[in-house]
Parts: sequence; structure tokens; C-alpha cells
Amino acid sequence: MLVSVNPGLIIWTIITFLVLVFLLSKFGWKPIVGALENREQAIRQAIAEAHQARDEAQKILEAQNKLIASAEAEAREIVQAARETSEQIRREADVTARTESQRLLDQARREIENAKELALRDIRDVVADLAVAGAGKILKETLDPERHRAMVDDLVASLEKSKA
Amino acid sequence: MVFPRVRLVAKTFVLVAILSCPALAADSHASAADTAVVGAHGQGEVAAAAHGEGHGNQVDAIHHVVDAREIEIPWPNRDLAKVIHLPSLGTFHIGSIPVDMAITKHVVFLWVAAILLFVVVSVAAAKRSRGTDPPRGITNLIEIFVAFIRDEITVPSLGPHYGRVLLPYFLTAFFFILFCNLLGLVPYGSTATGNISVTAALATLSFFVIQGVAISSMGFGGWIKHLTGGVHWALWPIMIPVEIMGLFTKPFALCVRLFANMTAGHVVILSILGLIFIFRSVAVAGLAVPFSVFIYLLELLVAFIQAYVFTMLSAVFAGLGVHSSHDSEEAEAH
Repeated sequence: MLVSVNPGLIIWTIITFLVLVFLLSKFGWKPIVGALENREQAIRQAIAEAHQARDEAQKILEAQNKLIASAEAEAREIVQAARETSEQIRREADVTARTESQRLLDQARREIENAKELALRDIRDVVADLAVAGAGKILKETLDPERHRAMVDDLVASLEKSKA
Repeated sequence: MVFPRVRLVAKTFVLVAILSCPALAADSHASAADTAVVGAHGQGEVAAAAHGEGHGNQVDAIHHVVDAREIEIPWPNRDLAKVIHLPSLGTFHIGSIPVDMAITKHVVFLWVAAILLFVVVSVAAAKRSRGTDPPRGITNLIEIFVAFIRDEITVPSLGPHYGRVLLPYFLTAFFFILFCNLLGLVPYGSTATGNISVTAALATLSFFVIQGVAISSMGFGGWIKHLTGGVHWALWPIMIPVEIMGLFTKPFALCVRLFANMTAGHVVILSILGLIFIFRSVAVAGLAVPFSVFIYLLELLVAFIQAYVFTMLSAVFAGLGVHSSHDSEEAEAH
């Protein structure tokens, strides 16, 4: 009874199953598996795209970093150059100022020297004249003025020489 | 968290025991669970009458498992409970074998399973998600099984080509067997897959699929050559019968495995509940009912496992035909 085979039931089972396979393939499995595969495809694509985007971002980031590094180096170079230039300018200015001041100093000194020379010459003339006039007053007609002047000049010259 | 759960299980057992008591008192058969009614069958005349045959004082577990020509429609009011006698569609003969095309209880439950399955799957198909949105509800549930059968059973066993082409067959086999198995766990339900004729039919279809894949993959000549087992011709008289037997043992094993697994659980449940009547003591129910609930839950697990095993082994057997053909790779290259 428990294991007796009923051929009619076998046939009913096969018919039921085959009809079910046909109906489900058409109205059930095809859309479900199709949707599943579409989604898998879409997800796989999305992942691939994400990977690609990540790689691209990585590349851009690297380029950016390289750019920043080069910009930094350039900036450093520029600052360095500017510092050097300014140093040079400062040094040059220093030198120029020093020479200029030296020159001005020299000039002033020379002018002072000239002025002193002139003043001395004037003083000498005046002193000579005064001396001649004084001596002439004292000596009156003892000597003519021309001889006196020559005497005094000699005296002054000898004075200067001894002073030097 | 463990403690409340233990209490919940204990409460469930008590509840089931209380609900079972009226049935055990052999008073209201129609309102109690299926198993209890048939268990009580030996005691009360009403249930015996409903089954259309008397069994005296015996607990007949087999009667519950085998096919029948009528279906009981349960109803809380015993007068409205019905027994439907199923039509006989006549008998014809194939050779000398009589083929009775009667609509039996198991044919009806095959159809119930088929209709339920068709409704569930077409609803799932109608609600399927488009694009990359995740599926929801019933579609999600069905898709989990579909993806599992495709990715873990058919494609690994049969390769990407046959794995996709034969996917509808394997999906239908899995779900149909599963639904038939589960219908047997519904009160007043009947397990069509607990009938050896049904499992024989399913195994026959598997046999054709297995051989169809082998012939399609190796070619008819390759398939014939495969039957010789690739040994020296002197051994062919031994090898060919062995190989031909081998063709039939695989589906035979599928047939018997499914039948025995689905029958065994029911018989065990009925036997355990039958202890109550053998010992003629309601006190035994305190042990028998929790234990039969345990077996019932085990059967729930077995319903899934056997549907999986049948599908998986069919795919593996069919896959043997595909993998054998790798010896003659040229044939497939064309």
C-alpha cells in the first residue's frame, strides 16, 4: 500500500509538472531572472565605473600634488632669488652710499682746503701789505716799497717752509 | 535574551498541549489539528466514519500518509465538515498494465501546490524591481532562492551554458517539491511528495534531463561511448550493463530519498501521538505533544532540505554528463 506505484498518478504528476515548468518559465522565471541579471549587470557596471572614477580621481590628485609641489618649489626659488637680489641691491647700495659719502667727504675736504688756501693767500697778502705799510711807516724813506716787498715775500716763504 | 525565549518556547508547548486536549478526549475531531485527529482515529467512531473505514482499536499511521479517493474538508461545526469524493476518470491499459487516471487526493494537492506556486511566483515577477533598486517583499524572498539555485547549484554543476538554459527546470523542481512538502505540514493537508508515484515521476523527469544534457553535451556517439566506461573491449560485457544500471540508480535514489524523507516524518509524528492511545493516558500527552512539535519543526527543516537535495543532486548528475565531455574538447569547440 505504501510503496505501490500508481501509473495514473505518475502521468498526472508529469503533466502537472510540465505545465508548471512551461507556465513558470514564461510568466515567472524569465522576468525574475531577467530582472536579477539586469540588476547584477548594472551593479557590476556601477562598480567598474566607481573603480574607474576612483582611479581617475587618484590620477588627478597625483597631478594636483605634483603641481602643488612644483609650485612650492618655484615659490621657494622665487623667494630665494628675491632674497639674493635684495641682498645684492642692499650690498650695492651700501657700497654706493659709502663711495658717495666718501666722494662728498673728499669734495668737502677739497673745498675746505681750497677755501683755506684762498683765505691764507688773502691773509698773506693783507699781512704783507700791513707789514709793508707798518715797516714803511717806521722806516719811511729808508727803502723803496719794491725792495721791501721782496724782502717780506722771502720772509713769508721761509716761514711757510719752516712750518711745513 | 535567552531566558525570555526559553519561557516563550515553554508557553508554546503548554498552549499546544492545551489545544490538543479536546482532540485527545476524542470529542471534537474536526476542530483539532490534522495529526491529532488521525491519531484519535482509532478511538472515536466519528473520525473513523469520516475516513470511510473502521480500524477498531488500531492507530493507523500509514492510512494518513497514503493516497486516498476522497478529501476531508474541516469545519469547526461537525455537521458542516465534509468529505468530498473525487471523480474517477476511467482506466486505460498500456500493454497489460492498467492506468487509472482517477483524480486522487495527491493529484489535488499537486494542483494546489502548482496553483499556489504559480500565484506566488507570478506576483513576485509582477512586483520585480527595475534597474538597480533592491527587490522587496515576496520578490526578494523568491529572488534569494532563485539566485541561490543559479549561483550555488546549476551554474557550478552544469557550467554557465546549461546552468542558464536549464535554470527554469531546476527552479520549478525546487519550488514545486518545496510547496508539496510544505502542504503536508498544513493541517488537513497531504504530502504529495510522500507518495512514491509522485517522486518516481519527478525522478523520471530528472532522468530525462540528466540524459538529455549528457547527449546534448557529448553527442549521441559520445554518450554511447561513455557507456563503455572507456575500458578495453573485452570488458564491455561487464561494463555496459553496469553503466546502464548506473543510469537508473541515480534517479531511483532521488525517487526513494524524497519519498522516504517525506513519509518518515509524518509516520514518526503519528507514532509519537499514538503513544497516548497505546498507553490510554492523557498524561503521556505532556511528553508526546512537545516531542511531536519538535518532529514537526524538524519536518519543516526537512521540507527545505529535501527540495534542495533533489534539485542539487539532479544538477550534479546532469553536470557529470557535461564534465565528461571535457575529455573530447573538440566537440564542444564547434
